[in-house]
Formats: sequence, structure tokens, C-alpha cells
Amino acid sequence: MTAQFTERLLLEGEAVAMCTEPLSSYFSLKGITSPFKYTCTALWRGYQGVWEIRQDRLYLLELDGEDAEGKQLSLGDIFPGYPDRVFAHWYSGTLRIPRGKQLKYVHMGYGSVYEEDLLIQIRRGVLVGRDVQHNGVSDDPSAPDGYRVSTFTVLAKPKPEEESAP
Amino acid sequence: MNELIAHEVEPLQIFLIAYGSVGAIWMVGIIAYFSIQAAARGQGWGGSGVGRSRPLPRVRKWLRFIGASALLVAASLVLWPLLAALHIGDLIRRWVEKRNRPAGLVRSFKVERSHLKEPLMVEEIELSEMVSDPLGGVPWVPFGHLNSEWEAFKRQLHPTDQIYSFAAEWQEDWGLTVLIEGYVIKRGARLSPHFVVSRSVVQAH
Repeated sequence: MTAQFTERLLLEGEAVAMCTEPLSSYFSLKGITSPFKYTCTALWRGYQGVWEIRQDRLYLLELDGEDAEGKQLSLGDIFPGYPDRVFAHWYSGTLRIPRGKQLKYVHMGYGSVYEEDLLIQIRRGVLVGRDVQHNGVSDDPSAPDGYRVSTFTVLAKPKPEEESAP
Repeated sequence: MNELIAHEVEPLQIFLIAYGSVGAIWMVGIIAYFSIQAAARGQGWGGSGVGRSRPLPRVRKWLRFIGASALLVAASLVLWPLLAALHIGDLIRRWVEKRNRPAGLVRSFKVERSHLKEPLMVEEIELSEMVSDPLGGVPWVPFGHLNSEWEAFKRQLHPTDQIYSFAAEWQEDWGLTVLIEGYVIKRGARLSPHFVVSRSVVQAH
């Protein structure tokens, strides 16, 4: 399994990488399969979401992904009547936000280790606590700063002008 | 002497032809196997680009296709025993994993008596589970975006049933212990169906 692209979280005015997928809990609780189709080895879930913590609550603001027919799906397709903002009251757990330089790259899931992790505890969509976990200090000046995925494969969709190519 | 050499070489030739033939059959089989799998996923398997989000130019695409095909043919003809062993090993590993998978996945989760908390009336539950949001990100109904599942759960109630709240620590696949909370219908001694409101990871092994 390839390292995965993260979700994006707007936290205190800054967009950060979030190594947690609260929307998967929603599909699980509803007992439905995600309608998103996976098109890239670094995005098995098939979508990227933009989240926000505002007034100590977790919100889903955007979704970007395609269904099996290649139709672009947005927030309003998953939450009809709520195209701009959805309160993630279904989610309980810990949001992991990696910060600092990369200490160890793991080409699987969200396995890479960074200097620290901001851990935000959410209970039914409401922020109930936050901790910082220190994982070490990088002594490598060339170590990447911030979350990154090294390689991935995009599964191309056949387009009319490419059909003659293999 | 020449006759002797010719005699010694013949079995080697036969072996090489047989070896290469098996490799060729293996190659055809593996291409068919992956083509069927790709078709089942609704995707081709020739048009991907490593680390790229835009398609490659056509010439580079053809060059890459020819290079990959040549490598595939060479590897299949020469290294087919190794490839076959790896493939068979992978199939066996998957089979063993599937066979040894512990019970306790969410889909097979069952509420037990020890998980029960308290009996509650529908009205009590709906009052306490109203979800509101100052920014209007949820419908003001019991269980918010999960309301349709709650309504479906309620439709399964019989007149003599009781609803209990429950909380269960449950061992899931992937080595996770999760806390599952929700409501369950108690019908005589039977605890089913249930409605899960919250599932959170308690411990990752």
C-alpha cells in the first residue's frame, strides 16, 4: 500500500495535513459503501476532504472525488441540502496532525513519522482535548518539512484522443 | 566427438524449450489474470503514470509500453519460477489471513448483555440525541445526519420491545480495539437489531 494523501484541516487560520479520515466513520455508521472510486494508489479512499475546526467543532467543508461513473462528487452529493458545511457530529476519535520535519518515511498509509504530532480529541464532533506528542528532533538538514508522499500511481481514465494508445 | 557433444546438448535444448514454453504460458496466463482483475475494477492497466497526475505524451507512452512489454516477456521467460512462487505465496498468504481473521468486525458486531447500560423510552432518546449546530451544519433532528438510520431502527420496534443504550469495547480487524456506543432492541432474551451512534478507537495494537 502506498503512502496516502492526507485530508486538509483548517486550524486556527492555517491549512494543515490531517492523517485521519472522519468521513469513513460516517459511511461505516450508515452501513454504506463509500461512493468514491479510487483513482490513485496514494488515495485509496478516492476523495480528499477539507475540514475545519471552528468554535471547537469539527466541520467538513469540501469533498473532491469521483464516483464509479467518473462524475465529480461534492459535499452536497453526500449530504443533500448541506453543500457548504457539515457538522461532523458522527465522529469520535483523535485527529492526527503531523508537524515538523520528517524523521522516517514509511511508504504505507500514514505511517511516516514527523518531529511531532498534534493530537486533537473529538467527541461526537466536538473538540474535547488536544495533546502534542514529541517523536524526536531531526538532525538531517535535508529532511522534508511537512507531510509528503514520495511516489504514487494515477490510474488513468481512457479519453477519446488516447484510445489508440496502449 | 561431435556426435557426443550433439547428444549432450540435446537434452539441454529440450529443457530450454520446455522452460521457455512454460514461461510463455505463464506470461499469457498472468496477462489474462490481471486483465480480468482490471476489467472487474472497471480500469485498464496500461495507462498509469507513476507520480504524475497528467497523462504522458503519446511517444513516451508508447516507449514505456514497449519497454514494459519487453521486460515482462524477458522476466516471464527467464524468471517465471520465481514469479510463480511469489504469486502463489501471495495467494496462500491471503487465504491464510482470511481463514484466521478473528471474529469481531463491525459488520459482525453483536450486542451482548454485558454491554447494556439502561432501558430508555424512544422519546427520552430522541430528546437527548437532538443534534444542533450554531452554524447550521446539521438538520435539527435526533441523530442529525444519521436520522434516517434511526428512523429505520425505530420501524423495527415491536410493541413489547425495550430499547437499551449500550457501550461495548470490541476487538476489530486490523488489531484495533474500538468503543462502540448506541442503542439496541431487547426482544425477550434477544438483543437485536442495534443502532450504532459512535465508534471510536480505544487502542491500536
